[in-house]
Amino acid sequence: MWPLALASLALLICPTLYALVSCDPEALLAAASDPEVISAIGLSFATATATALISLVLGTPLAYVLSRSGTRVRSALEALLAIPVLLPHSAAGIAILSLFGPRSPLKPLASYLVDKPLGIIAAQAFVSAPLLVFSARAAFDTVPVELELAARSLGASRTKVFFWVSLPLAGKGILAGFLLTWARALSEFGAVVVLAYHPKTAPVLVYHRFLAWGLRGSQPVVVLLIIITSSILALLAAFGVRPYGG
Amino acid sequence: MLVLEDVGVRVGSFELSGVNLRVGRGRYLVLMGPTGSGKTTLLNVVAGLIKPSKGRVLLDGQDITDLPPEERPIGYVFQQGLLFPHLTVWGNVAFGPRARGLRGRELEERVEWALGLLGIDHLAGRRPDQLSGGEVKEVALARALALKPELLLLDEPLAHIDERSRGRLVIKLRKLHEELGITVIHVTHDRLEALKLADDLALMRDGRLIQAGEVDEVLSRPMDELAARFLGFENILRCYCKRVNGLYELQVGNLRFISAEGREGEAIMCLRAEDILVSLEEPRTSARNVLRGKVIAIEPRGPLLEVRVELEPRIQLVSVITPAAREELGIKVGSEVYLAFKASSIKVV
Repeated sequence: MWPLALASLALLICPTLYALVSCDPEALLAAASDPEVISAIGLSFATATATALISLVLGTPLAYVLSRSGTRVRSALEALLAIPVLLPHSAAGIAILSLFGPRSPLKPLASYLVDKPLGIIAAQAFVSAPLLVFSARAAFDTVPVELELAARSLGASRTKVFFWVSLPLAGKGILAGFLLTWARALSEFGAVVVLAYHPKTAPVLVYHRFLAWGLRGSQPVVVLLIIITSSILALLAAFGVRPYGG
Repeated sequence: MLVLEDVGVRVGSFELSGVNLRVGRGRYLVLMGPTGSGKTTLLNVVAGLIKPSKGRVLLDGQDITDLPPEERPIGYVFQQGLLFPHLTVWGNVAFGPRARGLRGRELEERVEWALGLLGIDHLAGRRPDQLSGGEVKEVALARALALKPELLLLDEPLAHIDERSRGRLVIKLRKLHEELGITVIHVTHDRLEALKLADDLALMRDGRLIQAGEVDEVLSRPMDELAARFLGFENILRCYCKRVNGLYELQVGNLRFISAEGREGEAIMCLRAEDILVSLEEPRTSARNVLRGKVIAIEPRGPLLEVRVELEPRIQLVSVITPAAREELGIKVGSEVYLAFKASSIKVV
């Protein structure tokens, strides 16, 4: 087992590690002070946070309803929700775009989305919100229905039961889902690039620089992203939160 | 007064049907029946957690059949306790009053009152996973009472707790019922527990209510053989208890029985038929109770025979013998016989 484990570990960390050690420190500093890079990273953070918050507000009630519905209804609906997650993300982007396409009744809204932050958020939410729904649904599943009935026998309405019992007890799982969604939204490229090449989010900028300037031009931005991502993981771990599980 | 009128409901493959029950204001009703007989389902219907498909539920004349559970003046102590794991004991007890809109000083006073009622103020800061089985039940009880309900539903409140806590909780339940004058429906499958607390007794089997009434009435006139067998003690007599030489003397009519257990004052003595030995001659035995009587009936009971013996007018004991023993002893209706049983065979409640 050990040799295999070491081999897979090496395979998984080599690309990141090599990018870090092979990067020219001066180019890295230049990238870190490049206004285009800073604004792209800022935009990524802002849109991913908005996406995660919107998913939280809209996804949590959906997750609760799914958790409390019959198995058949639930598996049918969850299969539908899984489609955007499993679809190639460029295809997911095109699916959203076509919803606002020339022959769609929603066409007038297209001008608010195409090449707009709102479009970025829509693309991110479409492919990452289901993760929150799944994770929150699993969390609500662990809250016994009997406990909710006990709360109702104590005079709490359905709404109070949700906010006072179900939500606090499912809180940890929902938070994990929130972080997963946030991380997924932050790294989303395929769906975003279809809806909004501009303004550029960090993944789009990396791709843009790679096309324009090749490996050497895009690498400092990549390294910067690696550093930021690992800092966030470290920070979350310090608060006892592990979005990747555990 | 709680009235159930022809209540019926189907839950999965289980069906509750034709339940008619009246529980007078301030009464302590114990609902008994074997596991799976529908006791909990019936409580859930009363609490509003299950909507009956048939019949009506009335509380003090008001039809509450369609009232959601949160609007019913009913407290419910669930069998599993079901304390909220994310709240402290204080938070659990405050849950109901808070849901009904109590805040600040008023809320604090109400929680203190409820905790004080059970004498568990010292548990206020603990989390449910730091409580013993008995403490969980007490907190659940305080939580249900914090709403000052008119009706209290108890589902096996004494199950899954150790012997000592059980004894303590029985005393508390009796005291609470007396002090608050609250109407109680208490579900159990333990007959001794029932006899210790009940004013009224109701028996359920297979989703039906087979008998309900005052304790004495139900005990002395079980509706059918199954009811009697469920009650378990063929011989249940009202008695007056007195402590004598480390034992107890139980007086029933002009008769005196010696019992190993008992208490001072009025009580009920229970005796199983199979613990009574029947003979024609005065038996040579160490049993403390030897009495003379006349056989008034012999009836088959499964492979055995039930022998009913009258000791004095209106005081009868039932024993069982094998058909072979009947042949050998030549016992028939009208025979004068001796009955013998040990002091330790008597249960006093």
